[in-house]
Amino acid sequence: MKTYILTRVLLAIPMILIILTIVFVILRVLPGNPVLAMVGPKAPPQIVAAMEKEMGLDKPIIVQYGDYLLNIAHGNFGRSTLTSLPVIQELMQKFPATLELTIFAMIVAIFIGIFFGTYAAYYYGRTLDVVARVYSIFVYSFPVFWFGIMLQLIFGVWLHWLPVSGRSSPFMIPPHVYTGLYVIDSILNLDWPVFVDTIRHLILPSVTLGVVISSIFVRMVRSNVILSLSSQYVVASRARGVKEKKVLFSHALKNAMAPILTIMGLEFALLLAGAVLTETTFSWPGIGSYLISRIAYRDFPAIQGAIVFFAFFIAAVSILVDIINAWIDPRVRY
Amino acid sequence: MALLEVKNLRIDYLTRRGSVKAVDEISFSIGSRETIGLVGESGCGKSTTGLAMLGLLPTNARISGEIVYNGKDLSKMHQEELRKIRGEEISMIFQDPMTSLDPIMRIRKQFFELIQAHHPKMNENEMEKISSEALKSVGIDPSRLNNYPFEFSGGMRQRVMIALSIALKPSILIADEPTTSLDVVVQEQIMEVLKELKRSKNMSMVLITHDLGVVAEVVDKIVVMYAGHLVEYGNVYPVYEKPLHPYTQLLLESIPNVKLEDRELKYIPGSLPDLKNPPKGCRFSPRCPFSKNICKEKEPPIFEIEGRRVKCWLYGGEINANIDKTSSAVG
Amino acid sequence: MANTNYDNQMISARIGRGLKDLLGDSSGVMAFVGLILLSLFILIAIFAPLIAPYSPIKPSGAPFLSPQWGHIMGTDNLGYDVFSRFLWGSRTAFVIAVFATLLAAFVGIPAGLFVGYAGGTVDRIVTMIMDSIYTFPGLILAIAIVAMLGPGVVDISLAIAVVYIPTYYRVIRSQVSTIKSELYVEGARSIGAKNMTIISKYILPNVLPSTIVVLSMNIADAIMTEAGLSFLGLGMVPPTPDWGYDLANGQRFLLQNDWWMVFFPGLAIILIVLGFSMFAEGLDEYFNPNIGEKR
Repeated sequence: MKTYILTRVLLAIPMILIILTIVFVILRVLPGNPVLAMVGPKAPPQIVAAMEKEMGLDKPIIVQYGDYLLNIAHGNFGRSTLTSLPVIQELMQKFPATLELTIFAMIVAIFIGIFFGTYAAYYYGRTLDVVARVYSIFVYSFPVFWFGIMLQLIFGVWLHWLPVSGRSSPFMIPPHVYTGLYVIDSILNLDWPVFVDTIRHLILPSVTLGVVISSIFVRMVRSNVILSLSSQYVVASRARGVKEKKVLFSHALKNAMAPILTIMGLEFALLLAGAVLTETTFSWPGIGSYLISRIAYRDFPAIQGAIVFFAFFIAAVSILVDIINAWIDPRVRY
Repeated sequence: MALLEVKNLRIDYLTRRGSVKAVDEISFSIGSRETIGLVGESGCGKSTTGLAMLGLLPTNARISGEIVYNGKDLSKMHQEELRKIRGEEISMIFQDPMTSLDPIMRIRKQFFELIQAHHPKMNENEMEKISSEALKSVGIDPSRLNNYPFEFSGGMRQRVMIALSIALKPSILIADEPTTSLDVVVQEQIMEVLKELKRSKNMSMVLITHDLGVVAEVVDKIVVMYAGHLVEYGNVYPVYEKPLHPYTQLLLESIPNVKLEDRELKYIPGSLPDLKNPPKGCRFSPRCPFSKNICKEKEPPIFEIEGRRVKCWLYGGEINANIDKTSSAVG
Repeated sequence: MANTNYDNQMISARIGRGLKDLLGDSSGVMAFVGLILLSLFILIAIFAPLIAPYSPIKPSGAPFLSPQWGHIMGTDNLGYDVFSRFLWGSRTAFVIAVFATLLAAFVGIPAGLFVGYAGGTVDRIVTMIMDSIYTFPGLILAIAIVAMLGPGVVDISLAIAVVYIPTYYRVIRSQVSTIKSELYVEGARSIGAKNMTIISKYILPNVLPSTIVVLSMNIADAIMTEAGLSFLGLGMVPPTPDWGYDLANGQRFLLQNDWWMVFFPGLAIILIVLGFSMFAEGLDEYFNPNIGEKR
């Protein structure tokens, strides 16, 4: 298992390098001088030249590329031109919010996906199955921000049940930050009011993102479970008198898990894209809204840093998915 | 008294393009410790019959008739009652051992799952003991309970399947083409295992196969099926020595025989009829060398001859007189 | 050639059967409903100037009017008619999505075709690059590109096109690499057919049907991505009628309960995306009835 994890991590390196290169090409090689974009076309040339020198843009492109990779390898993402803080520091401060949102959205999506999808497969062709199919195709066409706004409207504006934006109410932040994930920190602080406040803020964004992503999960769980339900071992375990619930969950679903997880890993990209939109919709202070707000200020180190950070996040998740896969299916390990 | 009795069993599969008459009016019975062979080409309804005995037909199947086991009709039984019978009283092994075991579950867990399904309160030690004994009885070392199915060869997996199916000492074992997907040497070994188990465990067995050669040395009675119909039914030796139905005759002739080198390999010309609209009259008539006019018009009833049953016009009605001539011509 | 002929017969037989079954099962119904939605929006996009009661870029009444006679979807904060922007918005969505998707197809399909056919090291390297882009969130990539290029129809389309090139590449390449080892291709090669002939005569006709499904699916995704970019303030510049922008704009006034400013642009996106994806879904199930009657 250890060697498996190691090889899997090594395999992720080319992928990260490719993404880094693409980001570099987009941000440095494409037409559009970042300095000019920052200071405006009418800035005096000596200022432009000075800034280019400071950012290393006067060097040959290949040297810039090398510097860029080396800096990233050292965890040096440069300094924000807006705040002058190291970008990595700002990212690390924003990351827990994004992580918390994606984790809870994933929980919502997996919960809906697994149950709805599995039972739809079990009742293939019957009412529940039809409902599941209509659900997945309908919800798939929901723009995540529209759905978020609708939930804000219903549960925030009309019913006044839940807050419509932000991650916490003023002064409702866990006193001691351990992980940056407010749900966990508030538990560790044994701070009940903060915990409730955190959860109340978390519900709408994570349900928004989770429900939209669940549309894909429902359909792929459904189709994979249909396939594994038609396998011989399902008939064979029924022939042994195994209870239907066990046949469905510990044989059919568990065997369908490998392809499901692989697709879930791929769909994680979609989840992150959705997270950027959700964060903006709910003024959620994560990396997505950081990226979008810094685009308005033309803060290129921050933009670059956020995108590179997303690349690493995705690579980490895909490694994680493969490890879980190997743990479920022994054939992968050997 | 018969342990299990199938009476006028009829199974149709509903599909988008019409209903398929997979099994049509079949009756036979299995006595205690008896082994019965269900024989026919693939697609003749023998596996469907096997699945019906466990109530495992797909949802699009419609069943009528009776399958009486211990005085109760399995075909009308509630799913939960059926579940309790499956694996404990009647169990089944399947054709393809490579796909019949859950690939990502250790063998031990598959045993435990079976036992727990029927004896939820049994402790681990007892379950371990039952599992080990079952594996031993098919010639596998109990230490292999730790393994995953992919760590076994095909023949070994089939042994594991058999061990699973006999672990709870069922009274009937249904074996659906248990050796078909295995190579010849392994086939022999698996048949030996089955014969040995039958002797030692006092089981009745239903052996479903397309291979008459496999059946001969194991079974007591034989049911020959063709296109969903029972065409011949009787004790195994008489059927082998003097097959009555033309289909049985042809089937027996098509067994490859190593000893008679000069004989060319025979096969039955034609193919199974479309079961969505089977031919009028006898379903075998399009392929039958003795087909008469009546065969194409009227479905033959089942005639009883010398304690055997045969569904063929050759043994009834006005052409009855020709039996001797025709059967000697074939035989 | 005999082979192509045979395939053509197969295809026409399939189409014939398809027309017969069209409304007979669920995939047929799905494709049909999708097609109707699509045609509706295509008509709306074409005839927007004729149907729209007001100009989408000029105030036509008091601001913040709720849906009522004369403004069936109300007006926004500047007094623009929401219904007129609803109709005109389809033009923006279609132009960008179709342009971007076709652009992606024109790069992705040939790339998949040639690289998949060539195989070997080139194949491995290009596939790795494409896979890496594919696993990266499309919207975020598009955000990066638009952040550099700036807003505008062409720039946004380019950004979205880059995102979808790998989709075509992957679909085509995987099919090509299976088809190229099929007997009839091997056969053609053994009698000395040129590579170009093999690609255009044997491989392309076999892989094209599946691209229709991908194309339709992608237009749906592209519309979503464009709306997302506009929602984030990175898309079309106001006052161009654009659903994503209108949604972001409407959200600012959410607390005063002016739901119509966000509900209707969203509805437009949903319906058009639903049209494309139902159409794609129906077609897909028709072309690959993989999980049809099992179980």
